[in-house]
Amino acid sequence: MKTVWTRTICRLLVALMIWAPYHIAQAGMIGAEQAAAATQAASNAAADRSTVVNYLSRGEVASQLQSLGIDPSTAQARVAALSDQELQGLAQRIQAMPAGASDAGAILLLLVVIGVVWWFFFRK
Amino acid sequence: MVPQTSALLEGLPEGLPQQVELKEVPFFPQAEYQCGPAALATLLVSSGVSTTPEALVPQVYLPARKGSLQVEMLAAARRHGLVSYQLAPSALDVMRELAAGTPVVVLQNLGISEGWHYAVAVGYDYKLGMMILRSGTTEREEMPFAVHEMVWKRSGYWAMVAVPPERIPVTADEARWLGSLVAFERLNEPRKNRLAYAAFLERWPGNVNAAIGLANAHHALGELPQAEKVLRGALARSPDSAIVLNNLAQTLSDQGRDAEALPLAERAVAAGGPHAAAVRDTRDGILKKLGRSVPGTEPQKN
Repeated sequence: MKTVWTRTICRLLVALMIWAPYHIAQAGMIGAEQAAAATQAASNAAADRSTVVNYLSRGEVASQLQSLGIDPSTAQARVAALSDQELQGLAQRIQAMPAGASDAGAILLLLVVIGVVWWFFFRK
Repeated sequence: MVPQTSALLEGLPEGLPQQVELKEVPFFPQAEYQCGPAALATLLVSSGVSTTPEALVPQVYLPARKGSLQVEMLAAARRHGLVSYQLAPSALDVMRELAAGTPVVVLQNLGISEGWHYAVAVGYDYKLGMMILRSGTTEREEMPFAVHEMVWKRSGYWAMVAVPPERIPVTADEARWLGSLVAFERLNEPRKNRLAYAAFLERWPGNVNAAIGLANAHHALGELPQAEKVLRGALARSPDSAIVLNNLAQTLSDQGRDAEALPLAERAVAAGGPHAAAVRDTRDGILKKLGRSVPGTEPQKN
């Protein structure tokens, strides 16, 4: 029980830390990001909802990154670099997304593929 | 199987050279599994950023996945003052960028279960039918168009460039480039944002959201008359935009011209929209500065 609470509080803190810098914007001025989002969001409710969702998913993505081997402060900086749009759904899909890696075996297989395709497409 | 290659074999579109090779693009041989940092370093260094793959590992690499996510490749470039842009899924667009001197990172799948791999396209030879790439530990890999398309297609033809904010990619689409700038803006200082939005408006002068971005950069730099000028231009094109009205009212108010700002703020409130609450705050602030009562805060009469 204690760990669940610790986790929740940590997530909340991470979310707050990430969120804060971008909302000390210039007083009274609405930004281009909000303007671009407003073009898509049809109503007040939609705009409010996406603000809340973004707020929560920054914390969620940060903790996902941590679970994939990133330390908390690095994870925070990485999440801060994502736009609201990029963030959408990332928390849910992060495990399934392709992660460019490549190893020697794959490159070996590639050579075989190249050979086969070369044979089919370019032999005269 | 390789539709784009088949179309290419019909002929090279006008304006594209037969052969391009960006020989000056550096090469960073990748460490194990770390093609993401290596490919990204290639792009960044060729755009004048001083970095190394090792320095990028903590910004894009995911140890548990032994790889790098596409969104993080885009995000990391922004942390180095470049605007990252995902190209349209088209081999021709990659070739157009190469012809314009911009190297392109492509995400390939080389076949085995987790065979995802980032490589950097640096040229092509149309006559030979070859893409030229910096890839893995190979400094100059020639790959037949058809093979390249097969391994690239599996990522949905994913490709990205990263360029300084004043240099818009030749294949950039207006709405998606704006998306790139909006993402760039949150990480970079107003001076760079001003440069980025000014270049945007030079190419697409009618874009109201970019004008809002430029005006905000001016505002953040304390250049209030310039911000006002840009917003007045935007207002002429988009007289009902609550955001333009709001920001113009705020900019005038910040210059001590509250009486002039009030009617604009009232128009912004009347326009409604998703930012109604922020817009009302602006209007109420102006009313207070003018010493008038704010609607909804009058004492209740019984």
